[in-house]
Amino acid sequence: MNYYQNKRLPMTAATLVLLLLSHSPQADVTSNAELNFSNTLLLGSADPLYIADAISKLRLQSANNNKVKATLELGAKSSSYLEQEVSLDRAFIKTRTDRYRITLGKTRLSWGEGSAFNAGDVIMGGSDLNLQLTENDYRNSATWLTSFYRATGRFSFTELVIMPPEIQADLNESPTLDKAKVAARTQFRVDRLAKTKFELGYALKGTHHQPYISLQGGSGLNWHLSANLQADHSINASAGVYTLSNLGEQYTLSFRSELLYKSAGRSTEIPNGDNYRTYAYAYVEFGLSKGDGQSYYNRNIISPIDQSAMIILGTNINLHQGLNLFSHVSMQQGNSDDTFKQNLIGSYSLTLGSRFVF
Amino acid sequence: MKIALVTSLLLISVTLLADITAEEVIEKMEQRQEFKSAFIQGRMVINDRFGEKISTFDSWSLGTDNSLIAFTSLEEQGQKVLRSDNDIYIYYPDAEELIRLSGSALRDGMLGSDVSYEDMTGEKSLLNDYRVTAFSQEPLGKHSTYKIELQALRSSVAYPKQILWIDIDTLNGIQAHKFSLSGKLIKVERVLEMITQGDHTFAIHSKVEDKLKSNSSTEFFIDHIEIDYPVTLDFFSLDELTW
Repeated sequence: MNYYQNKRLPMTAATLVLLLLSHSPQADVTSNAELNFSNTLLLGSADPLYIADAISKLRLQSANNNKVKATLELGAKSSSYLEQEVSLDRAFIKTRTDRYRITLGKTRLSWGEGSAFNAGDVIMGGSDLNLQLTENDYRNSATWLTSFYRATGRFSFTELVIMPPEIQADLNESPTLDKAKVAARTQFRVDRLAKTKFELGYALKGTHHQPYISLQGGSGLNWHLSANLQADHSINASAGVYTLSNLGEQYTLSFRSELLYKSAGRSTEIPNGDNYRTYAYAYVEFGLSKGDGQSYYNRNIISPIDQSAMIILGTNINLHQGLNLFSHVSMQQGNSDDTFKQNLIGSYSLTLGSRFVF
Repeated sequence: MKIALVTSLLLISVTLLADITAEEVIEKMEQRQEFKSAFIQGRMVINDRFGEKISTFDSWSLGTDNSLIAFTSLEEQGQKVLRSDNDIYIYYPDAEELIRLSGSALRDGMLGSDVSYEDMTGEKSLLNDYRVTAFSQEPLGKHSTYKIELQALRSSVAYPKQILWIDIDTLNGIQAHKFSLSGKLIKVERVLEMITQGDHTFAIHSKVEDKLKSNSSTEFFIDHIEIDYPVTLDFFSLDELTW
């Protein structure tokens, strides 16, 4: 799919949803827009680079209909360095009856448990390093899907999801049925086990079977544990804890730590290996928020095998209604063949920006 | 003469106080605020040193243990908070993410306000968590009030000490001071406007001030309220939360 097709798709979808909503006598539309401007200084081995970015989102949502929901979200990204991009980030319709719900379109589902690492997410994926650690949502991508959801209790449900093949047209691949993905899960809470949440699921893509389990609980310390079986019979597992406490009278301190383990990876470092893989990552986050809308954070990903790390220090200030000012410093520490490398352009970066929702 | 007058006033005061205990005053105040179920549309106005921020919300509640709040303002549109017993579930629609909190996380300020999830989503009777340590009468503005000092029964309670001012005539709560373990005044809550529907009385405009921050307050406005709203326990579910 070329650039012009990419650009045309959101416009067509926008027109369709607007037409559908405008012909429904009971549907109202709410809209909001988000503008995100940032200036980034990239430092590394070469000359420093200076890039200005503008990311915008336009979101239309149906309102005042308790049985049908529709969302259309268009995104546009432009920068002083790269060509502009227009994208269809969300486009879905949900409808429900008493206990059943159907979702169709491009959206996101959150299976399993975990913020940075989530081995239970067999739909969107949560066992890689494609994280946006300076955003509120570390993982926010969407995919085309059809979901059938049935509530089986107040805190339990089952869900079946069918996803078409996600392939790149320019690689001359066809979206044949055997490349589609089907997944199902059931979630329930066991009150006798301190209200622990259990989630059991299964994904099938072609001949690849991928069962998983995810547990979550907490009494003071909130914890989670997930594991899935990969196509090569290796195991991905993630675990984490999260706690929140008052620091003095004005501050709230949060601490989150998550681990990702991949049994298929190497457990020792290979010097100068081009395709070096680690088998475990640790994510550690400290957050400090003050009641007047100021927050500070330190987020780190550590690769213990090659002893490399990415360290981010950031702050966010909610200045006025809808307006946030943010800044963050990102540093990578490691050799050129490590997971995180300090000698490449962008290994160190400084970003200042603002975000406005209106 | 002066001593006699003061003594007489004290005696009258003691006689009046003897008619009702502090526990009974609290019970009667809570009875007037209790309802089986309700639907509320309201506003939360946060004032801090940067200015004013407004969040609007719809809220459903059943008893004291179940509530669901759906934010309707632009920035937080679609975010929901479900409280069921001692668990809080927060739903973020953009990421389709559902977070479950328990324990001390309930005390975190919601949306940067001076109001915690625990404050916002209701709590059980004060007498479950506090014992009365002092009981007297005191004028407060144009109100004659009972002044009741409370001490927390356990350390897990959000505020170790509270002082309440309750209107003698209407038995409505007028003001509350909430203290830290060190005895420092943390929050001042004032009821600025009330309405009565049948046997129930509600604060439709109240203000919570954080005394540790300069110029920081959160005001609550109830724009619409329906008492005995037809809602069942099944409504307070993951299904409704993630819809």
